[in-house]
Amino acid sequence: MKWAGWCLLLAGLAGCAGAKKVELKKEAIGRFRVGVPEAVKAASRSQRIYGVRVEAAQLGAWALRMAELGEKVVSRPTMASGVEAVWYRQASDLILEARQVRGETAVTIVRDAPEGKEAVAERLSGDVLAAYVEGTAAGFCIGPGAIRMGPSLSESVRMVWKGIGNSVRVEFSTQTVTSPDTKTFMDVDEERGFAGLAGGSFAVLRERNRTVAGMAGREIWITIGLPGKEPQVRFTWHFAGVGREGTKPKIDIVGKSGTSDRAALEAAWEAMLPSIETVPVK
Amino acid sequence: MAKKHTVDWNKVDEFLAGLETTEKHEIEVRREAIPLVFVPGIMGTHLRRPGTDGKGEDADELPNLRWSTDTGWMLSNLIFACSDGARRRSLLVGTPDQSFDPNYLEVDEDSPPGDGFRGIMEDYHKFLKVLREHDWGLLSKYFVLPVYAVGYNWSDDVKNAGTYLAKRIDAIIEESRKVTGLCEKVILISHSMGGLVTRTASEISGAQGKVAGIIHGVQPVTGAPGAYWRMKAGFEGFNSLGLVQRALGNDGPKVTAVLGNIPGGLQLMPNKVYQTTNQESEWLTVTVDGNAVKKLPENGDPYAEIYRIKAIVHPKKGENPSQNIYWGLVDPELLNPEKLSPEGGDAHDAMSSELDKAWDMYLQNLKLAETLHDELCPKGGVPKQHPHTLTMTGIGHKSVSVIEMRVESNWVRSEPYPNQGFRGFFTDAAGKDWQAVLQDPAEIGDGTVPWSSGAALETAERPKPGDVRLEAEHQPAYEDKAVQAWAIEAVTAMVKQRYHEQRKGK
Repeated sequence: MKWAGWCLLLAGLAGCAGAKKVELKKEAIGRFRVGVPEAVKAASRSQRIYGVRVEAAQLGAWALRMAELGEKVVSRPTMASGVEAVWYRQASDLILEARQVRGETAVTIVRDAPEGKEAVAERLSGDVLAAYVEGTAAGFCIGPGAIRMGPSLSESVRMVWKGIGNSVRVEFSTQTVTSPDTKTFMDVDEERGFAGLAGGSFAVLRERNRTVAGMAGREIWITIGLPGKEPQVRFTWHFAGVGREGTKPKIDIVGKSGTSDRAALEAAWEAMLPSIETVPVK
Repeated sequence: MAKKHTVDWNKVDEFLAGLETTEKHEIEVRREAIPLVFVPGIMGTHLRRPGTDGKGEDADELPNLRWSTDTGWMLSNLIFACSDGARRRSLLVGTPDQSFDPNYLEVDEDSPPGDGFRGIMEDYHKFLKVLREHDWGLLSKYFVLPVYAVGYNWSDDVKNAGTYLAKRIDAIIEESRKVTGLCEKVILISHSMGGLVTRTASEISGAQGKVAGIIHGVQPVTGAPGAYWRMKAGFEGFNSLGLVQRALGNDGPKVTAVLGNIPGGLQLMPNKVYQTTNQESEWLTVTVDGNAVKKLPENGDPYAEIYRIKAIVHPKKGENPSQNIYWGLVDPELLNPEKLSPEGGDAHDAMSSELDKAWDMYLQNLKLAETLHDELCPKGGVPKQHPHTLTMTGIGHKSVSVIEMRVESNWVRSEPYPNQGFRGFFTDAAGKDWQAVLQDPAEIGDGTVPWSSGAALETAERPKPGDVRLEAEHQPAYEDKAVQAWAIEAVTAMVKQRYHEQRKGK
């Protein structure tokens, strides 16, 4: 869901002369809302709840999708009223794909299942579809609305933005965990070792604890230069998550760019992190 | 103007009929091409999504080039990306809804592949250049030795890779025949897992008659307990491994999310005839105060006793003694990191868990591994190999021949998967906490393959230069000068063998 853009005054952006205003728009994804610069474009997004991939699709895309699946379709189950669904085979996998138009949105789900468990998959996916509420950012957000379920033990989201400078890419991802992930993006040993083996340079620009939306995470900025390639900068913020808690998944925010776009990345980063907030479960 | 004639090299001393004495004749001796075909090890081939040229990204912002040994690619996609097990799995296996699909990836090469160099890891090019530039002396009078590389989808069943290689051998022979007019056989040179692929192509996929000989370097003939070690603990530290191996991950969860989901990875595990450097078939031990209290496989079947056992790395609360079997190869929770087991969840979590098929798919992949192992190295039989085989085994580097889980008391530890390590936790009858700590490699080999496996094809009757054991590290083995010299001698021996076969009785 998109809210009206609002402004955030940022001061002291490294590499920039003076303060700079970054216009933000809000994106709700999963259990969170993130402010992203107006200039960026969502390059991809995906959401899974109870292991069911769910997304807001374009109206009218179903016919195209069916044509694409063609002979892979093995059956067309009857689900709830208004739900179009097919089972299709993709290599050894049996996959259920269903769609329901809700208001201005076509909500699609995808879920795999072992042979003989089709009814369970249809019931689970049907419940996910039925729990969709248009025009809200409470629940598990998929863009124009949210799934009012859970929180589930198997939730994950991933969204990628591009469009600032030539090389800036920012990724926001969350994933429920069995226990806190205290390894990913918590140190720079792997990166330092990689640079060393590749005969490149490596430097830590920032390494500190940083709380975002009340969650104590780890922020690390590094730069790596490899022979013959433009040096790259990477900013990460990692929250380890709480084991088996759907509303407290591990969170990774990864921003990267060539060093020539570092100032733009920094501006976007410093605008985005303070803007992150959790959304109500119900 | 002389009249031109072409005579195959092995028929130059035969009577050439029909030459008119009134004309000048020019006889061209047609040399025979014997392509040298290099087959790399696991992770040594660049892989892409089929239907793409390996450039750009797909709708999920994942690269179409799914595996490359280029440092820039690794930086962008493994080191700079969210490089956990889920990410690695999504690159090589697919989305969480997808299980292993042999058609998910293909070799990133030109069409037609040409010499095949583009599809394989750049580090191999150094050795291929040595082969290409070598002066073969007198042999050059009769033979041409063009150099090719055949990459393959190493995530797939080695049997499929073998079939693919057999087809490429046909195409290479055909192509070489077009150039020289004479080509019947190739010589295969394998590195590591490429040894299994070349033996499969030759002995199972029917290419034996088109292969003059196979030169194997650092092949895990009977498997490598190091593969088990890495599934549990990640790839070892920077000193013993290059970038490529490191890229698969430095802890068990990262590695299992990939190798546990692809048959190619499982086919590197010790097979049913694996023996340790002490010639014992039990290669997994649990020790207390230096004494082995458990030795597996007890019945010579690691599939039943280790690989098909679900690893449970934490004891259940209040279970004294706990029955958790931490030594099982795969912790099911690690196979599909985005789908969690339902403990503590709601009814929908239970439904989701009921649909999870990661373990069943793992068992299917394992079956492929077992089938290949049983065919290549039948229990009680002789390992299949080409009649003209030469092997090089790497020594001088600490390798895993025996897995040791050393039991220690546990006061504070709770993380089973630290970087480059593994701890299995359990409780005794009195409720005391213990940990079984995976020990570091300590025996002789090339750093990955113990000599007992690398040398499992050795026989005394080989022609010179024979089967050898050289101080060589696993991944860069063919960059070693002594290994290169041996490989060139081995090629020379096989070409000479071809010469004598063709000149038999002349």
